[in-house]
Amino acid sequence: MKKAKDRQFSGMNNEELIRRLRQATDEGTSSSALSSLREEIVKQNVGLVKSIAVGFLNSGEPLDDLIQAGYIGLLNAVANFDLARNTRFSTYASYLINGEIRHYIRDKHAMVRIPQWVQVTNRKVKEAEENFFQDEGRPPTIAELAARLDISESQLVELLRGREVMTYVSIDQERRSTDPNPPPVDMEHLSPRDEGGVSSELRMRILIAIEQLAEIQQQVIRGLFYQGKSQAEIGKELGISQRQISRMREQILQAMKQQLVGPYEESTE
Amino acid sequence: MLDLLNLIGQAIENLQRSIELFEVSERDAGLDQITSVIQQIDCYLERIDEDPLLEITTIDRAGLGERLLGVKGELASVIESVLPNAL
Repeated sequence: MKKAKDRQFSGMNNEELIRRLRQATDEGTSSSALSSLREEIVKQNVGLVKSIAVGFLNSGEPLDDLIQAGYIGLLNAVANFDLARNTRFSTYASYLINGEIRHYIRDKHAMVRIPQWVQVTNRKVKEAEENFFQDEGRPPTIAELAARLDISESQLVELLRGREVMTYVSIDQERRSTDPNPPPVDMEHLSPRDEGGVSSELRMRILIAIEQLAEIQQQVIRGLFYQGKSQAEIGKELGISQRQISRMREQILQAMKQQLVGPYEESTE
Repeated sequence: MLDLLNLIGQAIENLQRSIELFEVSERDAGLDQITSVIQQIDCYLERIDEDPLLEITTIDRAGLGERLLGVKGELASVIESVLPNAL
């Protein structure tokens, strides 16, 4: 059985296996068949994961643990690799494996609880980096990453200083676009923080508060309009008339409309 | 009495304004905006049972109160972090 499976995938490269996996997923193939395909991709890239993990041995972490973390990066690469992009799977996977091992080491060595705003920032930066890599096939520069995150370069630099993942980005775009294992950024060449402006931490923490409020807002709106219950049903549950429900909704919609349209109306007057 | 959606709408607007003010080094004005949001949340929580909006949604009041208190705590810590520099 195993030999038959080996023959089935023999000679297929990463991209072909991923293509097969995507097709099988679309066709609703059995989960065991999908697992076989994933296993084959992992098997073909064991060497890649190990070679990257070995490069982190000076962290003091056991090789097996580093490899385990690397596998997470590999599986993420399998799940997210976009065949339409002009990037080799191995390049994309190396990037994610590298990142996952770094995250593992950083988390392992964290001596203090990471504040929420830092965690949120890390997530946003990581997503922006991975999306950029997926789009362009290379790591972003500071300027490009800052543009994706809609913050200034100096704010991004400040964030990255705290985040200890400076090896992902560089101001030396040409060098990094050709080097699959780019060296750390030379911090001396990065512009200093603008002391006169708002600090990145402050901005991020206020943005988190806004995000939390927006989540509540979404929940309320969903609760009001997308539960599939009729006004009569809601009225019955609450012991009030359908007309009252209808009036309340009208008032809410009016208030929301004013909030959304108000500023534009004012600016055009 | 603000309903929940109006409270959130105003709070988001004030917080966005506070960022703009901090960015042009208007720290006191920025802090005022954040303080006003904290006050609005306090006011709302005191009278949460009167919010007509909550009557027609399935949102959990206790959970909502905790989440708003979480936002308030985050904003209070922002003010604490800014005050030493502002004074």
